[in-house]
Amino acid sequence: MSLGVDVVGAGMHPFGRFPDAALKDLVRLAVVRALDDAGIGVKDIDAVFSANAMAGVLQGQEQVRGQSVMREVGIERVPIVNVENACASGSTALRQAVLAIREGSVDVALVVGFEKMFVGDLDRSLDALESAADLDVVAGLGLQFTAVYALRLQRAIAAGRISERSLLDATVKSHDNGALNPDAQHRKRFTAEEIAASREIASPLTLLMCSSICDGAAALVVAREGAVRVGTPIAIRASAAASGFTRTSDDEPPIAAVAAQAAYAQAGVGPHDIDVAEVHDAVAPGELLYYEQLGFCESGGADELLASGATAIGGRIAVNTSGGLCSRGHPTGATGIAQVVELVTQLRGAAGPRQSGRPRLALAQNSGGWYEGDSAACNVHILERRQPWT
Amino acid sequence: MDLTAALDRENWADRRRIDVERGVLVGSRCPECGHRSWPSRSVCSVCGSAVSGECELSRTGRLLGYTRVSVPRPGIPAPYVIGLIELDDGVRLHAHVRGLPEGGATVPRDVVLVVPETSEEGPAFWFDAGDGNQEVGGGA
Repeated sequence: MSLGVDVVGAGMHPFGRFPDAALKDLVRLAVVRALDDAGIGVKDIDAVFSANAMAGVLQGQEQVRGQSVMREVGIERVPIVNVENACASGSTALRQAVLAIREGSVDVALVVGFEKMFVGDLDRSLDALESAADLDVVAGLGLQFTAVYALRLQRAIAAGRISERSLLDATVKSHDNGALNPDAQHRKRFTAEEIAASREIASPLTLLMCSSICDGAAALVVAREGAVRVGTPIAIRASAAASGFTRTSDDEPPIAAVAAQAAYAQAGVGPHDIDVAEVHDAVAPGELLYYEQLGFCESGGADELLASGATAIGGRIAVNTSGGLCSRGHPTGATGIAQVVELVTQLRGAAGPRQSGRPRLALAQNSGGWYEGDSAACNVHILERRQPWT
Repeated sequence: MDLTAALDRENWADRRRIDVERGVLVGSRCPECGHRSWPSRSVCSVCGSAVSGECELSRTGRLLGYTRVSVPRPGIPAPYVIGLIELDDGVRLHAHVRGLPEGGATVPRDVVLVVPETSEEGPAFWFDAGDGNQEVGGGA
């Protein structure tokens, strides 16, 4: 029997554009807030799992990225593991912390993700993003993540599984939720008409449907059950990972479905037990694809699930209450951890105007990079509020 | 499983990916299960056997999905169309697509590989969706 693992602290540096903040500043705020939230100090940390995707290209900090920011907050000597897995870096780091605690060699781990994508040179940021695939294959193709999601959605629309109207409605929901999140990059609501009229990025996607360049950091304190006493511990019931593969048929399940099935089996729950979820909507309508892949609806049921209001705040299974990647923001290495920060906040009942009822079970799905037709990496975590609601 | 043949594989830089004269993509074929890959592999991702040699791939295939990209990149003026293509021998790849009807096209639809003899600028190959296709509206 492996040891129980809890999230006992969570903190964010707001997501957005912060020209005056260095990586050290982004990380400082997120880490100090997470430690303060857990009621512990830096000397209580046994190990650090540090996620970043692009500081090698964007800041030139190709090596020891975790050490270079941890020294700013006095964390030295303990093991620091540097994790890169494209946009799934954050959840990959979290998974390493979970495995280390389950195995018994670490009691209290700090998991931090950070990214600074505004560097005053959009082409350099786009080059960094394009390297989330095998450059021997994609170099010179101009294949951005927006185009990757556009291709997936265009196929779903052509097959009659998703309507074009749902692309707009999912994006309206994303911005509605982001507007309620003080840590979100984009906090403005838009109508479906405004979203449709914004400039095209990659058909059928328009500007307001897409996540954008973003700075930010997020941190979690993860501990063996009972190692850190906090008011509302949140258990990590499942941590599952999958990597991309050379797809030969559409009959093969996407890796998000593979990781989700593994996570459900680990936690002993099913998709209909989940109360709140953060999914990897690198473009807002991408959440429609993940409804199917995570089992929230049958194939072809995404339009209906969205239209029913079940995935809105207060719905049966609220999805991306934070605003998701599109509206909360997507500083790549920080995203997977920010998803869990949001879920912890929801499970504690501390999300203020975007609180979705009294959730017990939460799911985070974080994907990164791409193969031909699917992502290169995906992690799914399932969290549970240990205490009953009173 | 004997993987030692993979030790003697030509180096990556010495393996062809395109045969400009013959106008085809060059990948590899697994001698055990027949699975084809582009670019070539040294070990088959389907059955795990060592792969050697090279293999010309089908010039024809199906466009499974596409997007019209409006963001230019250095050397790639916008708009341009990127598609997910499945060749007749099963290989899937992303590539530029030309010749789609204005205003959208249904998928899947047939496409044919084009390898220009001189490629001063732009992609080394693309797929043409115009020949033999009925022009149909709708889609994305």
